Amino acid sequence: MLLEVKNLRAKIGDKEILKGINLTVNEGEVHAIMGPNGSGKSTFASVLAGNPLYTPTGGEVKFCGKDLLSLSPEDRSHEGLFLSFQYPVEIPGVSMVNFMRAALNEQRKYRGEEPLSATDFLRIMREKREYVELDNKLAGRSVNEGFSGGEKKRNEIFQMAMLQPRLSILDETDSGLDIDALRIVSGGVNKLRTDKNATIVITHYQRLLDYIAPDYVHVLYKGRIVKSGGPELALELEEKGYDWIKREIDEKEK
Amino acid sequence: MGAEKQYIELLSAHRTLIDENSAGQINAMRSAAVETLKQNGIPTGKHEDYRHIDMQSLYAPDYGLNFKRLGLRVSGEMYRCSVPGMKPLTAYVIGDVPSVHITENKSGAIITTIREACSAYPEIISKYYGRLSSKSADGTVALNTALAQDGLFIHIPDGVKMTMPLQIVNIMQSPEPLMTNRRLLIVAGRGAEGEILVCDHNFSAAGTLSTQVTEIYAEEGASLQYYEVEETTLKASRVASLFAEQQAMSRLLLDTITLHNGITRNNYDISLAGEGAEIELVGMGIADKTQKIDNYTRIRHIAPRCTSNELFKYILDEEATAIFKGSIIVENRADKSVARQTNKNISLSPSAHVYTEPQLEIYADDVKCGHGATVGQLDESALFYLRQRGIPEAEARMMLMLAFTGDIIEKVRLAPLKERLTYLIDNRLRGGIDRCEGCAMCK
Repeated sequence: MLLEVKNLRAKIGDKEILKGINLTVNEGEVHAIMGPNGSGKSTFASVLAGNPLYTPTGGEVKFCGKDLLSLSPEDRSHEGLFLSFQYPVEIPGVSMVNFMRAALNEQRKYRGEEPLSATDFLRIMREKREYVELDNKLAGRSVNEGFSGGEKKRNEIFQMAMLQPRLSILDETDSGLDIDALRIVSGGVNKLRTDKNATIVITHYQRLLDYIAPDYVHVLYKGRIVKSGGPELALELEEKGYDWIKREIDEKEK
Repeated sequence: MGAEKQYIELLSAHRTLIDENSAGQINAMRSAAVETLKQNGIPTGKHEDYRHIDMQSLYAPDYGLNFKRLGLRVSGEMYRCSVPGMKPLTAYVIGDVPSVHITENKSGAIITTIREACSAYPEIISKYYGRLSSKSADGTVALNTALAQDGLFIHIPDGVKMTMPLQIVNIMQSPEPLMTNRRLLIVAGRGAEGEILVCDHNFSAAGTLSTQVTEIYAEEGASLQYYEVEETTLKASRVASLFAEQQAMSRLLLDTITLHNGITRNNYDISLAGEGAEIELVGMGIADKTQKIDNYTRIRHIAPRCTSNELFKYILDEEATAIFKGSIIVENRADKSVARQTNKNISLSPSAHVYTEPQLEIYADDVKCGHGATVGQLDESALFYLRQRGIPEAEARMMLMLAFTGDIIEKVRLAPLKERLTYLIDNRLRGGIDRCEGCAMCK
């Protein structure tokens, strides 16, 4: 078992957003999390990654047997958790090369490995860029600075390729992508899939799931997973929308 | 009368001794300077350009002065620089006593003391020395002029391009509280080119006050880079005024970096007097503990088609204070002026203070002027992004702070200095410099 989330609750400020999430992810699996706007999808991703804006208020999360919530964001990364940001941050003045070298060498340090030589590092950069057809020019620039929406998302998957995580959380990686970029990005994700790692795909749309085929589909609503199923659930949602699920849940709550 | 009183008394008591040990032209300016000082005094907190810094208490201590020009010798060997690919010419100023031992000057420039220049180049000295500074109403400038005895003179004759940079190393090393008054006169002739780096170091156990007046004259088409790097101590006070007058099509890069200090007040007074002159005025300060950095700039666009580009950045922590006041005056015949001013600050602590004040006075119609100032913390979303990729928080903060200084470092055109500054800033931000590290171009 890679990830086990039990009754996870979290708030931002005074507002409770996650109200008891349960989810189990095993090696080799792809889970899709869908749901209407404001249901807590991005919050769930942020809490798993340790964004200090959010405070977990209950429940527990085991990641590779470790208590995830007690780890710093950087150690979660070192343990193999990767978040592809919905809005990748522009960091002027920090070059992609320095950023990636620091990230990779910190990961190696955590694992007791020697830092990479400059030649090895550049070779790996070159290899991984090809996963998402990322231009060498972009790799020479500041992190995400002046990147188009598509380039930013490709850059996220490039970083994922560099860090080779055990669990990748893709937070609306399809938003802002045209069809070609979507193909490149999901192609990159698929190439990185092995039977040792897993992916959580957060999306509004079935479209992305045509490219990254999920094993399980979950619907998040009002801070809980209210429905789980196979890939056919995503198709049903595409056809019928979320209203029928909302009604079902709201009825129960009454 | 305020803090100036003790100095005026000191001057009248020791006038003969001072004059006997000074350069002739410097003596010639003394009496007028004393009058200006008596009239205007050392600025108080009521002076609108000195609101956030207490100059009175800066000048209040009973400092010793080295009127006899004795002692103070520090071996220059300790600070000899060796940078691969560049060998700067080096001049030292120990306290306020200049010493130039440039035996074979391959650079093409004349580098000597003002005292020697008074006999060797009397017509240049009398034309330029004190011409800009004596117009200033600032009591701190008048006090420097009244007390100064010697200084450095750099003359790059018409058409001469210096083949190597000049490094001036200011060294303070005094067991007793000491005041020094330094002068620097730089004359770049028509089409002359040069690069000058001034490093301020302080090894004093006692409190010191160093005042400095620099005059730069850039004649038509001259191109000059002037860098100042201060790495002193918490006990060091610095009051420096730089005046520059630029003739047509001259280009000046002024870069002032305060890496470590006590209390620093820098005044930059730039006159764009000839058509098409360009000034790039860049400054950066890193301050923590109780350090205080105050940069005051005044750029006057006098002639048409001049450009001024100003960028100042501060990183503050703990109880530090930083002040930036940038005044731009575009006079009525200075059409087609372009003036940009930017001041950006990062405050890492709730008890640090930043005061920023742009002041634009525009009397011409056809001008492009813009200014902007920001004060903020490190970008939390960028911080989380870096951490999510495995970069520990402290390191991530460091990367963001270094990134903040990136465009300042980019302005430095002297490649070895750029590299050295990157290292020094990194080291400073990691808390590495608590004292002087040696001159900025030393490896």
